Amino acid sequence: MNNQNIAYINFLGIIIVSAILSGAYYFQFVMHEYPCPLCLLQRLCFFGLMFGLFLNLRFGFSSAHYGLSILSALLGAGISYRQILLHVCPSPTDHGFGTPVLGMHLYSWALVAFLSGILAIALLLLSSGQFEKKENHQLTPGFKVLANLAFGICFLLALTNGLATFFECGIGFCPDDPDSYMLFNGEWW
Amino acid sequence: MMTLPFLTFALAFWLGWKNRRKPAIILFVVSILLVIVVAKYHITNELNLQF
Repeated sequence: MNNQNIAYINFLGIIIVSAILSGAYYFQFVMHEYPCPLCLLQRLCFFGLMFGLFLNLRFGFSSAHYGLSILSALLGAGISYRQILLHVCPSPTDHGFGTPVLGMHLYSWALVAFLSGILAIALLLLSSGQFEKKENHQLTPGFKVLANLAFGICFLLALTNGLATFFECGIGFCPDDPDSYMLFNGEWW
Repeated sequence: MMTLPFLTFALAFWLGWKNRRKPAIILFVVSILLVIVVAKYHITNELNLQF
């Protein structure tokens, strides 16, 4: 596989993760489901996953960049698995957190996404040719366009998520089961 | 506190875009450490896995 195709796959990974984060926005702002602290932590791990892919597009392919993505995905998988375990024994008062999508809650889908990300990166790492000719990487105009697009998407999502979290949680830690935006109630922490 | 790692991630992306790889990776590590600190704060209650 040539480097251009691998760049497209890296970019596709960023687009898929951005779509997941945008889907979370749909639940937050359209369906008015406030994200729990563990949900926000999983969102953060998605940013870590995208960061390694972004570095690949910006600076050239490196196993270290893929490593950063895998570390974030492992952390995110651990957090989503923890949330699954919290709700794994259904009770009359506990049907899981939030609205299920296609029969699974968002944190279950997050675990699927993190594990799929790790699998995809493992498959990408099999193509060892991408780690050669690194010095020519930034000379290819296609890479620069993809890197700029990826930056725009990631930066915008990180900033808006930060802003939304600030309104929801203030400057302190988030409540375990949020039911409003704290800042709108005049609470800063 | 929960807002902070989002902002450090945003800054890490910005530094990466500005061609500053090492500071970007340092900020990534800071973000992940913040995530772990916040996770440690929130992951406290026992799991109800036994009947």
